[in-house]
Amino acid sequence: MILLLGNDAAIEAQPGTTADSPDGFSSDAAAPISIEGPQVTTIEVPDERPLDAALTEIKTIWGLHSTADAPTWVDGNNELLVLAVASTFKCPVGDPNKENESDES
Amino acid sequence: MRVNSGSDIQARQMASTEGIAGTASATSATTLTSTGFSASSGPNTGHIGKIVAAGPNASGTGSTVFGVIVSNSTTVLTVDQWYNPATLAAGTTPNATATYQILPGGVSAFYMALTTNATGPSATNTALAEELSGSGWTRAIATYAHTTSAATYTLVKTFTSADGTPRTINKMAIFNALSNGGAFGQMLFESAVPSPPTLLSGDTITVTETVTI
Repeated sequence: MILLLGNDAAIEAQPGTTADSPDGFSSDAAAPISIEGPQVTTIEVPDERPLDAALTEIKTIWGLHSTADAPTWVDGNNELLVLAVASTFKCPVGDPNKENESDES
Repeated sequence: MRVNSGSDIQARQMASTEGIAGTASATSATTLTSTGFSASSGPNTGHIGKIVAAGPNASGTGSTVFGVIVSNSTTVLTVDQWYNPATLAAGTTPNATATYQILPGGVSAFYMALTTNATGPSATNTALAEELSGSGWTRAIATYAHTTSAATYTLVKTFTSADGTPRTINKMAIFNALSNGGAFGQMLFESAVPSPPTLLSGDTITVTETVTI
């Protein structure tokens, strides 16, 4: 499943690992390096991944790739996952660039 | 850290040109037999790390699948397994007379594995010592992400322990194939887990590999 997230506050991905065990940890993050301009974060979620696990990983990934609280939009090839991500982040569905291309054709 | 075999994987992925097309004379759950292959003579030689895509035979019979070549002779390609290209789930063994192609380039490396072994990573390692399997720990496909214009990408996988024995996760590694039937694929990265956590049954760990390209 491919997920596309509009990313207006993109950063170079930061290292990090977390665990919920009593011995869990979070690593010290380096200062984020910003990437200029609106970008798109592509996430490829294995089809085998249950939805709740997919959402956990997507939230982790978003925090590694952006300083924004939420994507500016979400799109993808799996409607259920797209709607779940839109609900989680409270962001609109649909790539505005894709809509523009359709208008021109 | 990127291990030495990881350099081989990346070189193949970025610039390898060799491709082959042909017709099989036999297939099995992990092999495809034909002629004209350049035999492997060790890690990262021959067609190791490339994708062989197999389709229906000349009569239109058979599955459409691919496999990651883990070794080969001049007549037999051995793959980790056959995959359904749409889902990456296990695919049906191709027809004995399937048409096939070995594609230029190399397969992606998106399998994440964990170990309790605490010995530091080494560039010369080709396998993850004491790799965990079963009870929620088995090597699995990670979720890949990349942001346009970024010089980085991430692989993320959440593991949930179903293990009666507490496990301290000391290292992780990224491979280009499943571990299957003694064929473990090639290791691209091996990394120490900082402040290694100990997980009990029911605990989860979300592991992130951040790669600078």
